[in-house]
Amino acid sequence: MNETTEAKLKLNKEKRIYSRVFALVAVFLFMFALAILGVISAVDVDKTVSDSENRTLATMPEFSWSALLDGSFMKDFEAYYSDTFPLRDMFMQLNTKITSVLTQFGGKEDTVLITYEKHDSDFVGEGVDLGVEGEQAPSQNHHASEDEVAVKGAILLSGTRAMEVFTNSSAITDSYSALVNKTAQSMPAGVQFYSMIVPTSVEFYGTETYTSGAHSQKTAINDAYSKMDNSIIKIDVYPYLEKTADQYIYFRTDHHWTARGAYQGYLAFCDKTKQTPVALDALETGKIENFVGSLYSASNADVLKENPDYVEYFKTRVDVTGTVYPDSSLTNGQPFYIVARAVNSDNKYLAFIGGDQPLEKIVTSNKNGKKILVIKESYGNALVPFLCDNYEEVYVVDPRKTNFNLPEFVEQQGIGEVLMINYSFAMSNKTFSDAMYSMLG
Amino acid sequence: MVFSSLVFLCIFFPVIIIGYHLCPVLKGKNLLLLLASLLFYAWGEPKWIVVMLVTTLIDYLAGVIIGKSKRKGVRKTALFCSVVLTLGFLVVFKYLNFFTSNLNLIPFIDIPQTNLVLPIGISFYTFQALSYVVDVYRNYVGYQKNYFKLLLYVSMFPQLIAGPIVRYVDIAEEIDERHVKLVDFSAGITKFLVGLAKKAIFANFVGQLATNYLSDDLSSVTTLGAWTGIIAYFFQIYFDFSGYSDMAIGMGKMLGFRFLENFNYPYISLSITEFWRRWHMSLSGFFRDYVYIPLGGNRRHQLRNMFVVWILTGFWHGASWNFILWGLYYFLILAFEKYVLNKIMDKVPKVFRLVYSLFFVIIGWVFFYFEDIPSIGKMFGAMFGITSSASYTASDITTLTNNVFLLAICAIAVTPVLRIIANKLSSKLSNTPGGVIVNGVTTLIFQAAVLVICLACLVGSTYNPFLYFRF
Repeated sequence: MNETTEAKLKLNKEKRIYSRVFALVAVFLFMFALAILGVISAVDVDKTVSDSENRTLATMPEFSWSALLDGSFMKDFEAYYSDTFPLRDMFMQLNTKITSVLTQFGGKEDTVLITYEKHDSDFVGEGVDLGVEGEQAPSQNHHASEDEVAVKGAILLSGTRAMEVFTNSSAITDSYSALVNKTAQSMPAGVQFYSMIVPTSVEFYGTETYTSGAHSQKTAINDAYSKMDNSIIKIDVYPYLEKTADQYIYFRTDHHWTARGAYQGYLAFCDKTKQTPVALDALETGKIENFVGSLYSASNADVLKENPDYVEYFKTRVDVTGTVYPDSSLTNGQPFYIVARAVNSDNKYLAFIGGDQPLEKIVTSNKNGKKILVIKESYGNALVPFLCDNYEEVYVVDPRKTNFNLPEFVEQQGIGEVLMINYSFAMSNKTFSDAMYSMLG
Repeated sequence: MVFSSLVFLCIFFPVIIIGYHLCPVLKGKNLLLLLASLLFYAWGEPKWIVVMLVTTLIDYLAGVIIGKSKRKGVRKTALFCSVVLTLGFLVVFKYLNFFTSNLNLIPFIDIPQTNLVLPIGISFYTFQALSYVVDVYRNYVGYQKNYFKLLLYVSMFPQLIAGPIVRYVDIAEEIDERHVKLVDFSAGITKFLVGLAKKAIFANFVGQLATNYLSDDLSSVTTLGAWTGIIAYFFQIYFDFSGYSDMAIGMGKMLGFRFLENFNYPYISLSITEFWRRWHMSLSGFFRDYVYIPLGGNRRHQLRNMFVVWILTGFWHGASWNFILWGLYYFLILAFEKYVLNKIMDKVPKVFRLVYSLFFVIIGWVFFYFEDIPSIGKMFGAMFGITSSASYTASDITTLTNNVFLLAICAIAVTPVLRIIANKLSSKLSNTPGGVIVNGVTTLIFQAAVLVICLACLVGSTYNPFLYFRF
């Protein structure tokens, strides 16, 4: 009796000791894990650029009493801390794995839908610092500020190709055609106005469910065209792209079309305006390797990073000189490359007309007196170099980057033709339409 | 600062905890904890920390007067003044603009709006401070002679900004004497990590699914989308809020404080009455003890008392009509249960009662989520197929299949199933010394895995809001 009690007591004592030891180990491991991360982050050298996310990381905020009192110092500090967290890349990779387990389950035919928060500012556009070709500094990504509208985007991942899912509504085509009509009507008399709406890759490579009904870009584009004034010449690039969908006309990791895709847009334009297009094989060409674009940043899908795109460029046949101006006064100009052979930034799409710039004037060696203005967001960038073959002067304006009276400018420069080119997603973009309206005087 | 921020997890928290346990005397521990709490609060609310300091001062002085005085009149006056002043701050900061903007709807009235922002946690610490004065008045607890100790109670960082609403009486003794046993500390870590996981893994992912559908513009949402969205939100709000409470309770344990549980698996309730006994228990307890019972409880005017409590509960969540509607909604259901349903409930199979409860809780979150009344209408329209554009689209189906695993583990995690299994295993194991070792190793692996996964989720995520922050 006594012995068993004693044995029991001994057993209990042993158990108590073990559980204490484990508690002690747990406490130390837990506190040290956290504290060590804290110490490492204090002493390590901070990275400034994240290659995998293609953006500049936050830096230590500068201290000021006002920033402290309004709380912005703490917010910036937290952003800085999170951006320079020890082993950040490892944690980011793990996070991508967890995300795919939790939210990309049961994808059919390796098709998964990734939703992400899309800020209007993702659309602000990127431009390179102008300078020596290939020596451009990576430009800063625009961080969304809090009061901006965030909408949900969805990315369809099929094999090694990512595509943004398009969804239309009659409100979208209504507002876009109203914008185009208003822009065309504001132009001086005698100016020929063209509209080109470019579909994106999901239309040609997405599964049927994402190309029919409300997801059909064909329906959306035709609907928008039908609501435009008769005087506007509609450049229907759709069939040209559809016919050449087996070629490399869209990037797989980025939402843009390639130069080859843009060439189809140029062909459609020339056919409609009865001009002779330059042949693609007449142009000097080359490749910029290792392009992992916006759809990777939005989806974080490893398969995109492992299978990067390349940018194929075509130099212009005619001699060209390009100058970027901040506004319509055409002063303080800086030279830029119409087509760059190398891009230092991760965003290799910047090879075309230096990315999104306020106002660009290109003078070619053509002596035909023809002048055209291109109103565009980034989809227009890859198209502009081809247009140089047919015009003496090409003006390019990105309404999100500048603000002046556009009709007045067209009048002053004696521009005879205006092409407004947008991709289908830009139809619903408020940043673009607001900026455009404000330039109509 | 929020618990799920990396600055909190890897700098603030380890520094405080290590410093706290290295400090040999309780006085020093209390001082460190107080300073840490004030820093914690000022980090997110540098200016309006003054409001908290003044509120506490008022209630401290009232407590002293009430505690020292024997005269009923003096005691009553002190109580009255402190309640009015304490609630006054809450009214000015939280409700003034709501009242004036509604008054402005009357012709010829035009009161300018203030541009005060809601100080973080004011709804929580106001209630804590109030419970102190009232409890002193009721002689449930002695008054606190030291302002800084009372401030420590009001401002203590684990529970300061999103609950649970801790009563002074529950921790009064621990302020002056407390010990942290190793096993408690370890249990505190587990509790904290479970809370962090609820927040960083479950709430954030399912929350993204919710906002995906419940955007401001409901005109394009389908029936399936509306249900997916609100069910995702139903999970999000539970994991978010109960996760925060778990982290608070876990940290309390590591510091030697025993906070009461705030959630008890509310989503397994078999009636709405039961739901409210399991959801945000510290809030319903507060309204029960400081409003419902003083009004007469169930002895007189029970229906009126319930009405008052539920309107106030709704209104506490936000100065907006939808929260009042939400409170009214629960008043109606609870009254109906009390007078009608309860008589037949026992005869109804449990599974129907569960479905019934979950259905009405989900409907309730619609009132809670949308702060403008037209959106509530649109949402119901979509959910019940009246106004929705379509019953579903292809992308709804893809989204649902992609998230089916997430939703399934959410559904398991809101029940006590995992906890029951874990408890059974560990009690079986703790019979032998070898079992204790196995149990200890498993716990360690679990803790480490949860911590790494949570860190990964936090480092990688841009979406990390705390829902109960705005209350």
